[in-house]
Amino acid sequence: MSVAPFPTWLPIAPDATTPVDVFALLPAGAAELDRLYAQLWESGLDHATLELCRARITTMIGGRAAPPAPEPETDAQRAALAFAEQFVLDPHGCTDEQMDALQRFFSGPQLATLTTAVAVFDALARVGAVLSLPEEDA
Amino acid sequence: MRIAPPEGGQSIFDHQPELFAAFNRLYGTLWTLGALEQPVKETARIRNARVVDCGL
Repeated sequence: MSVAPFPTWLPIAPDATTPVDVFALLPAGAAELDRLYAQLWESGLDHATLELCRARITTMIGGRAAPPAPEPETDAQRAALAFAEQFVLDPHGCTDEQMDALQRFFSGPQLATLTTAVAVFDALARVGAVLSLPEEDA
Repeated sequence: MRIAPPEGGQSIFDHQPELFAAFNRLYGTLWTLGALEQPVKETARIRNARVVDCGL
């Protein structure tokens, strides 16, 4: 899974600097999340597109300095990335043009994977953001 | 519906039944296990649904 342990304000942390695996607090849930996350990467969408979306979402939500995210190289990747960005900002803002573009480049099964992946990447980034120490305290 | 489900399906996620099943196993686990009481989880779910204007 892609969320590394991080220092958190949760009282389970032994101190303010020790990284904690917060997902291990619910082992059964963590195991199912691991299975879902692994399956995302084996469900018909190329890894480069998925990684572009994951990196962009993490950067958008994380709000911290991060390694430069890779840039899209194809129109299909650009369409996927635009969808991922709009999902994070406001899912109701996805336009018909964006949906049409996605369907030009991706099949129904690929779009099911992309939508699930974007939702999972978004959720994981938000969990990390809300449970992490503020940057000035980290 | 902006992205059609497969024939016989109800939503886009029916295009990937194994992936959808994996999501549902996680979702079910979060509802079934853990230290948080069900009413608290349901309150959070309803509030979240309202914020994002989800009809579910």
